Amino acid sequence: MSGLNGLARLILRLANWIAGRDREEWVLAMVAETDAAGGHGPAWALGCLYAAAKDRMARDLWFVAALFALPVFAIVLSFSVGAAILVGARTIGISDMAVIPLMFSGSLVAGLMLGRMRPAYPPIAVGTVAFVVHQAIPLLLMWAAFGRLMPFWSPNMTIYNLPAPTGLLVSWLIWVAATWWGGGTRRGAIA
Amino acid sequence: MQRVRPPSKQTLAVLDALARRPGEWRYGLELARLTGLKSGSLYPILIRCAERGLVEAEWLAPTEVGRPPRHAYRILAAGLAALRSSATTGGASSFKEQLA
Repeated sequence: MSGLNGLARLILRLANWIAGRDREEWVLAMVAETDAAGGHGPAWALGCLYAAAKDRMARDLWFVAALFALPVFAIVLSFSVGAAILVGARTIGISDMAVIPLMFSGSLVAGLMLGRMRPAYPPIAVGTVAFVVHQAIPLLLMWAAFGRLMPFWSPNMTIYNLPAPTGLLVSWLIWVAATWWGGGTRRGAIA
Repeated sequence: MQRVRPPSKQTLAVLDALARRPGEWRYGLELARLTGLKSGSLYPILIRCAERGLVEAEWLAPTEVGRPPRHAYRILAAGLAALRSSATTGGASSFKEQLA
């Protein structure tokens, strides 16, 4: 009796996705062994899922840490750059419209760094995860500090006569584009 | 440079199970039965051992018609050496006793 029933196949498909291409042969080994496990197939497959996640974390620990740390860095950098430039801009008479794009600098720099760390990873996935973390951190901090959630945060696009949520879309696009760009610079260096 | 830690007790248990018959290939299910480890613990150990050259892995032809080939494992000289150098600290042979 094959241990590869519907549940086991689903679990192993997830394990394959988590393990990544580097572990393709090992995942195939897990599939074959699950088949041989008979009635214990789903339990064996569940262990394989845990193994895939554990192995991936061990290989990608620094990258996972960076996925959280770099959005924090982006927030700090954006606020620092934005505050410094706004003060300077008002002093020398530059309009806020010219300054707002610089508020995205943190996301741009952090996205570039993420892309360079893992150039083979899909930039849309990496950039989106980083964007979500970038949004989630201030939300959680606000909730922890003041007991309420902000709706979202991003540079204010209303001065360009754009709806406020446009800032979210622009922020996401910058994360994805910067990750893609960073990956491209690394791929160019390796090739 | 990646730091190479000494083998854990679980790793030594896997190496010990393979070392009982060094020339023979063992499947994952068999190793799990011999060591008492589940697949979640076994595969990270096998992957690490294979990468460090302690164990080799190969696809073996199926023993039953209609079944896929299976991955099998065999200890290498470096694995035997790692086992021997851990023998003085009690290592793998006591691991299964602790599990019993």
